[in-house]
Amino acid sequence: MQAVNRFEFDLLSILQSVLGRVPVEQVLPKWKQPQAKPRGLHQQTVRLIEQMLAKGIVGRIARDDGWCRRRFLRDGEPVDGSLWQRTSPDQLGLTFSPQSIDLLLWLTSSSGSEGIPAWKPNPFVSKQDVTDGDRLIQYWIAKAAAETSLLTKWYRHEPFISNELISIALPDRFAEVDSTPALDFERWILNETSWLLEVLQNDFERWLVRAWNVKNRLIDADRVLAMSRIEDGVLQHYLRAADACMRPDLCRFVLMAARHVLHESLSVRDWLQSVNLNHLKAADRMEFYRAAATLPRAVNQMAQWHRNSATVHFLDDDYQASQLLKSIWESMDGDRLNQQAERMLAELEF
Amino acid sequence: MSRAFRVTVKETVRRVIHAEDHVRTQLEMLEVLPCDQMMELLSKELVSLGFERDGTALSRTDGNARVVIRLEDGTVVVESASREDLEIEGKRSVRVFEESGKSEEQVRDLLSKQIQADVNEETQEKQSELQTELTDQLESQLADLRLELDQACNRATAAALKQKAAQLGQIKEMTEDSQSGSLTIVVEL
Repeated sequence: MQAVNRFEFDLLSILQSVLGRVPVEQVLPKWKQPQAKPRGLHQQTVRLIEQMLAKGIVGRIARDDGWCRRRFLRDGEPVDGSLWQRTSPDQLGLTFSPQSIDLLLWLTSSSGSEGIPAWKPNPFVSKQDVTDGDRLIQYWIAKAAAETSLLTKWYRHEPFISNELISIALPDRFAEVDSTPALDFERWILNETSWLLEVLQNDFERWLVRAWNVKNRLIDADRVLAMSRIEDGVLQHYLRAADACMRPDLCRFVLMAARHVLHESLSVRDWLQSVNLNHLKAADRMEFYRAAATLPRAVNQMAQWHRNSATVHFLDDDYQASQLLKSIWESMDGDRLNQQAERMLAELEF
Repeated sequence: MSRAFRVTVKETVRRVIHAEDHVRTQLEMLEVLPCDQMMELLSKELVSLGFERDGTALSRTDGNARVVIRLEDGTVVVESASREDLEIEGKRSVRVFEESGKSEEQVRDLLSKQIQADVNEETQEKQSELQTELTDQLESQLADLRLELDQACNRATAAALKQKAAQLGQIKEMTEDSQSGSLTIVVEL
């Protein structure tokens, strides 16, 4: 049994919730309660953090989507199986810089809801030293915070603002605080940790569905417009990056989300009927509808990829990628989804 | 002992409110034939839909909305305008005590200004309502108009394809499906 002080205990509890081992609600009071930040942590606590990260991250990734049998590209070839079958475990390692510990110290010492002190980056950790492991921890923290509808002000702060995983999974949060999300998705896709984008497909899908349903309930047109523009910017950047890197398989979540929300006979106007557009003139209304139709536009773009894939020959570099796209498209009933998407987009032509 | 008197001011104001709205879009057509021939084919289709031609522009009035199509660049402008004559009645009254030192004329001036403010507010509300109503009406017309224009473009393109096919060789077979809009032409070269 190892003894830790009160602050360290709270820090470890917060880490447990970030790793999904305890519900966020259980540690929420610790997040909200500001505490004096100690000058450092005891060595045994640092060891405990290391152990928790080593076991907790594997556990969480496995639970989230890692266990599912999926098909993704590896070096241009489709590979079937769970994450551990698609990628050898020695290539799945994540490293962490001292920034993750700093972030946990900051979280534990700051009051979460109001007046949080600005994040001060560790002067001994340069931006280049920050690892994808750090970014994954930041993403899970942001996600846990978003689920409790707290801490929206975090998004004004580094390091959250420069994390692409947060940009794609929680773009609407950036609209709430009028921030610009990070968009360097190519780096993620080309990186050896691109498997993280595979296991987060369900998260990305949930974001798209959530964004769709939120717009269906909101009344304030300006808010919907701000959200839509950020979402569209993020999604379009992501799709362009996936296309440029020949990884259409990483866009499966677009079709997964579309299957939930693009129903036959649904019109854009019916979907956004709760939004008050009385103060807008016809051209501004059209502009509003066009901006809001993020998902149909993305589906339509993937339909274009699918059409292009028919012209890819066996000897072309992207033959396997296009074959996998075809199989994803067919398994998700892409033609039907695109029909709905085109019908909705046609409504906005005038 | 102070005496009180009641002052009542009633005014009727006539105002005219205007609302206008417009949207603009572009017609897209395949250039199957040279531009001037395509323009003529489209113009023919549009005239059959009730548009009147004036040079390179065609126009039609649908209720409050006026649709203008410029053939040279395919621009479509739909404008809608509406006006309403308002007669707004404002009434204000107040009880004034003699010891307040205000004359009846001063009180009347004050009440008149308040009525003006009330009338302005009501005019503003009516103006917004008229604008919303006009925009809603225009929006509902656009869906039908878009469909009508799409069909006209499709028919003009089909006519252009038939002419082009006839120029290429002898038409052996022509199948047209009005529901799907598909046209198959078999040409012997």
